[in-house]
This record gives sequence, C-alpha cells and structure tokens, in this order.
Amino acid sequence: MNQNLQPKEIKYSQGCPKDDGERRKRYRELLEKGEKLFQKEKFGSAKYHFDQAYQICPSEEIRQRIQLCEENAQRMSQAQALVSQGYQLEREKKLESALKVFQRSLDIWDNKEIQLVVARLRAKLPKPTLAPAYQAEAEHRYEEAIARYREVLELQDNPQVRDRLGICLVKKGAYAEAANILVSSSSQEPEVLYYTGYALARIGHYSEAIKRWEAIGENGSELARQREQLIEIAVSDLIDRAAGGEGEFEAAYQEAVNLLRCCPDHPMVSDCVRLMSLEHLEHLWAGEKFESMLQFLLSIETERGESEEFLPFMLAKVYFRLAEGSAQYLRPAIAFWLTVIYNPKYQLPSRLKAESLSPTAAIEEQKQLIFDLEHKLEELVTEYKLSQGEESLKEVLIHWEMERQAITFLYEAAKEEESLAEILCTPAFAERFGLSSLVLGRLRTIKHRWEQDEQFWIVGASFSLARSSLLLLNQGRLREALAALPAKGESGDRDDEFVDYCRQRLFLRLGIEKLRAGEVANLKRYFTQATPLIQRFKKYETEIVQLAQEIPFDPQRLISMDEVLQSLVRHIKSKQLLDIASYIMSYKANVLHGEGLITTQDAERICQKALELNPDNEFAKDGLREMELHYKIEDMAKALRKGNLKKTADIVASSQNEEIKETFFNLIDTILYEFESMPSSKEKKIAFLEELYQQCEKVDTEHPVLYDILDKMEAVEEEDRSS
Amino acid sequence: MNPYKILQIARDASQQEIVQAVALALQRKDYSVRQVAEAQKTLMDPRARRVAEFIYLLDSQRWAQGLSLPKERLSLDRLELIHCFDKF
Repeated sequence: MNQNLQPKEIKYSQGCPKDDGERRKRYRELLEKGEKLFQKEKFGSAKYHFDQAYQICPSEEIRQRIQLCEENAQRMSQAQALVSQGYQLEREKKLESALKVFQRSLDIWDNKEIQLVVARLRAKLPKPTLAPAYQAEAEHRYEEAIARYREVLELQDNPQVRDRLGICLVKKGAYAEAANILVSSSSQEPEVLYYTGYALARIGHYSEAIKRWEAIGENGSELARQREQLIEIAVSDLIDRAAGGEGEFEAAYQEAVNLLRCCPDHPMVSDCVRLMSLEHLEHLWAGEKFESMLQFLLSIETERGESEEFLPFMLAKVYFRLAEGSAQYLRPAIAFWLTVIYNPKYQLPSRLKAESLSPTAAIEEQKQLIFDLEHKLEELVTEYKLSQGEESLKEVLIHWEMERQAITFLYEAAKEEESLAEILCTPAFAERFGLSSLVLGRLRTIKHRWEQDEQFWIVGASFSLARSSLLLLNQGRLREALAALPAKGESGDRDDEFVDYCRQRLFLRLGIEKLRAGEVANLKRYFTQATPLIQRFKKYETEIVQLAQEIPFDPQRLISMDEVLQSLVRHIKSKQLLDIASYIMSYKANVLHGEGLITTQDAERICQKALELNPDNEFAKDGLREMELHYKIEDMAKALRKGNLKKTADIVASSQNEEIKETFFNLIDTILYEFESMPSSKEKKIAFLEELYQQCEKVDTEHPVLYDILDKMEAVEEEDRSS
Repeated sequence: MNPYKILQIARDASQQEIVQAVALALQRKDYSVRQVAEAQKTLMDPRARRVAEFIYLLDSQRWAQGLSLPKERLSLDRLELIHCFDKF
C-alpha cells in the first residue's frame, strides 16, 4: 500500500440500509469499488463511488473517506505539477534545479518512480564537498560555512556535519536553531559539548548547559570560570523570571531546581532556590492558598527536605492554618507546631531588641509564648472533639499527649544537657525526618540521670520502633498493639531497651486484662515478661497489689493470682508485694480447703509457706489454727471410733477449744442416749459411766453432761435395786 | 480570624495606626463589628499580638537573610564564547 494513503482502516457501518435488499447490495458494491479505487490512488473515481454510497446511506465514515479522497487528489495534483516542472528543467539541463523540484514533489507525495529519478539525478551531479565549508568556518565566514554545511546535509545526513553546522550557528548567534540541532548530537567531543552547552545557556536552559560542560570532563580554568559566570547569570535571570507571575514562576523555579540537581553544593544556586521558594510561599500565604502552599512545601521536602531549615517552620504554620479548617491536618499540625515552638532553632519572635528586655525577662516571655502557642493548638484539639465526637477525640488526644509529653520532657532535659536542645522535636516529627535514632542516641547520654523516671522510658519508646505499638497501647487497643510491636531483635541495637519497655507495659496490661476477664491460661507468662517494669516502677507494683486485693472469691482466679505473685516475689522483695503474696496464698489455701479441693495437710503447708513470706499474716495464722482444730477434731473422731475415751478426752482437754469441746460433749450426749440400749451388766454399766464421768470432768468440770452421767449412774443403781 | 487581615495593617503597625485601621474597617463593613473589635483587642495586647503574629504572619524574610546572591542583574551577553575547544 502506498505510504501516502492513510493506513487507518475504516469500518463502514454494517447493515445499512436496513430495509431494502437491493439497495443494501448496491451500497456494499459502491463501498467495495470505492475502496479498491482508493487503494489504487484513483481518488476522483473513488470519491464518485463513495458519494453514491453516501447518498444511499450517509455516515461519518464515508464522509471522512470522501474528504480524504479530495485531499489526496489535491496533493497528488500539486506533486504531479512539480514532477512535470522537474522533467522540464531536466530537459533544459538544469539538473540542480530539477533535483530540488523533484525533492519538493516527494515531500508532498511520495512516489517510487520519482525517487528513482532523484537518485539518477544525484548520480549525475557533482557531489558538494566539505572543504569549502571547512575553509569558510576557519576564516570565520560563518554564513557561508552554514550554507555549505546545509548543502551537504541536503544530499545526505551526516552527524559530524550537523555538529559543524550547529557550532557555526552558535558562532553566528543563532542559538535557538543551534541548540535544536546540537541537543540531538551524540558526540562526546569537547568542542561539540561546549558549543551545545553554550547554545543551551543562551536560550535559558542553564541546567542542561551545565550538564554538557560537565561532561567535557576537563576542569580547565577557562571553562570553570565560565561555568561560575553562567551560574551567576542563571541565578540572576531565574530570580527575575520567577518574579514575573504564576506561569513564569513555575518554569523558572523548575529550572532553578534542575540547576541545583546539577550543582547541589553550589551555595549561590541553593540560595537562589531558597529565595524563590520563600518568595513563592509568601505569595501563596498572602492569598491564603494553604493547600497549594502545602503541596509546594511537600515537593520541597521530597526534593531537598534535609537542607531546608525553613521547611518545618513553614509546615507548622501551614498545617496549623489548615487544621483550623479541617481536622485531617490536626496530627501533622501537632507534630510540627510543637517542634517549632519548643526548638530554639526556629526562634520564636522576641521583643528583646525592640523593647530592651532583660535576658531573664526575654526567657520568661519566650516561655509564655510557648505556653500560649501550645494552648492555641490545644484549642484546635478541643474543637476537634466537638466536631468529631468522643471516640475520635480519644485517638487524637492520646497522640497529642504523647507528642507533648515527649517534647516537654526533652525541653526540660535540655536545660541540663545542651546537646538535646538542637534535636528538640516530637516523635512524629522525628519519624518523618529520620531523626529518631539521633534522638534516642542523645537520650541515652542522659539515661544515668533519668532512668528512674518513667517519663524517660515513655519518651524513649515513643521515639523507638515501638512508637505505633505504644500509641495503640495508650488507646487500650492491646491486641493491635501486640501485633504492631517489633519482634525481639527486629529493632537491632537501635532502640532495644525502649522497645523492651513498651513490651513490658503491654504484657502487664494484657495480663491484668486477662486476669480481670477470668482468662487465666498462661497468665504467669505475661507478668513474668513485665517483671523488670514492676521492679523499676512502684506504681505498677501498687496496681498489682490493688488488683490482688480486689480479687473475687473464685478458686481459679486465686490460683492464678497466687502464681503471678509467687513469680513476682522471686524477683521483687518489697514489703507490700510480700504481704499481698502471703495473703493471697493463705486466702487461696483456705478457700480451696473450704471447697474440699485440697487436703488439710496441703492447706497447712500453704499457710506455713505464706507465713514465711509474711510472718505477721494473721489470716495465715488463723488458717493454721483452723487446720490445727481440724486435726484435733479428726484425731478425736479417730480415737472415738476406736473406743479410746481416755485419748479422746485428752485431745479435747489439750485443745482448749470450745468448738472441739462442744463437738465432744455432743458425742457424749449421743453416747448417753444410746447407753440405755447397751446390753450389759450393772457393774459394767457403772464402770463405763464412771469412766465417762472421769474423762468428761477432765475436759470441763462444770459441764451439765456430768450431771446427766450421774443421773444415769443413779438410774442404773435404782434399776438394780428394784429388780 | 486573622486580625492583620481584618484591619488590613502591617506587622509593625503602631497603636495609633491600629485605631485608625479599626475605623476604616468598620466603614468597609467586610467584617462584623465584633470581629473588628476582637482584632483590635488582640493587636492592642502585646501578649496576644505576639501569638497572632506567629500564627498569621509567615515571616519568610528571616530565612532569606544572608543569602549569597548576585548583587545586580546580569545579562547573558556577558557570557562570551571561549575558544579553547575549537577545531577551526
């Protein structure tokens, strides 16, 4: 297919016309014929057929085809006219002119036959040589050199000749055209690179120019000087362009950023980018275009976040203003605002100079301003409460508290350890700018002074990899906190101790939650993990003591609580913990014994163990007394079962316990009641009653049962007498 | 609300200028009397004014101090071709 023809395949509407078989057939024939003629470049005839088809069923596709036929016919006609002119010139032996005319015809309508004619004519004509072009260039006749190079290029493209043409164009001052030609050059020749760079510089593409010059790889003093000169000119030009309006700013700023990428260490370029950024930010701020400002600042953060000190300062202000209108900006507002107001690097405005304040007054004023600005942020958080409700507030408040606690701690610690002042920031800020390791490193330097203060550990954990886990823990989302906790060893050496602190707190909380819920399986494990935390901070020990004091009357929970406390007292020997461990142990013994779940011996052993923990444990002592009593009753019952009355009475008498005594005399009552039916002689009965009396008297000389025995003896005597 | 915007005054406006700005703001009626009064109150109180200054003014100039930039506008015409790489 001829390349002049549009390769696009046209799909004619199918099924048109719908209602007439004959017309439909005719329509399809016309389209097929038209298409064949079109392919044969017979555009007039093709158009005729397409016209006919269009009349039967008009469609956009056929209309386009008709239009294409018309356009192609016109172009072909123009090309044919040029071809005729070319042949005429050839007949007149004007071969150069003929060649040009044929080439023009090919530009309009490609044709294989004419391509052959052009090749034939080129072969006939003498080839233009480069020598005159070189000579003209060497003699600084650049216009002539340019014309000669163009002639050569018209006949055949040649990269080297194109480079020479470009260089000559630069020398003549045609920078745009020169740059257009030279940028596509692949030459690494210093001459080509230099001129390419120069042309680009002159049309304002400074970064590309510098790249070309740097590719020369030669730090010759002349080029180095010019490079410096160009940078100075570029900076001056870009600052001017940036001030020209929104549209101008975009392009100039981008060029400045590109230039900075080429020479990142050049102070003038970085200062140029900084100035342009600041002026743009001021412009956006004045127009209250905070969203645009944020986007711009975020692009700076991505591009060169670490090197721009103004970035946190500006972000603090923008996030604050955005948070006034939308709660979604509250979290970053908290991180940036707190960092900026506390960190001396961002110097809050001071009236020191203007109003000749004393340094002390200035410090006080600074504190006051920090307080006021913090309060302003707090107001935003409170407003958020009103707009979002309690549940969302909880999350934001916890975030706010963590951030505030961390920075206020660092602020106070910085008064003693100056090196902390320069890294004053909130955990979220540190995370965003990759400062967490640095902060943790500085925190470690003051560990010896603060490690007994739990705030130190909370702050450390909030800067560590356990940050998100701690946040969830503070929100009471324990399962999620556990999932978010870095695995042991995952944090490397970086923040192990702070991750451990968080882990211990989480396990303690999980343990307490499980105990309260009655989920006692593996409970000891949680408290064992938390032991160092409980050991270090009294408040957790007190919490456990309170928890133990409130433990319900539930054997299973008592067993678990006892296990927990026993494992803790192995490491922590504080009085309150030993006391409660002792109490819970003896309480457990009593409850389990009372429920019949353990033997008296076991209960006694447990109570004795409890007394080892706390010898003053009255509950354990009572328990032991109970056990002793129980033993006596058991012994008494055993002696009675064997009929050993003397031993029984001895046990009861030695016990000096009213309960045993009562049990004993109840038994004696039963014996007396059953005595009547005992088949025995009078002597034996009397002897038995005398023995009974003697033993009962041993226990209690005044017990009424003694009279009952005497009555019984008299009754036996009487009975004997009457019989 | 931004008191500087409500009263349309500069950062370093004096107390007298604030009073004048209040009158003009009331005439303009862009803001309610209460908002204008609030703005005046804020800017008349040194403590509240410093807070407002921090919140509502960007203060970008403090970051532009000491920048090393060309002192004058430089033309590209000063960039002359060097010929150390020329082949011809």
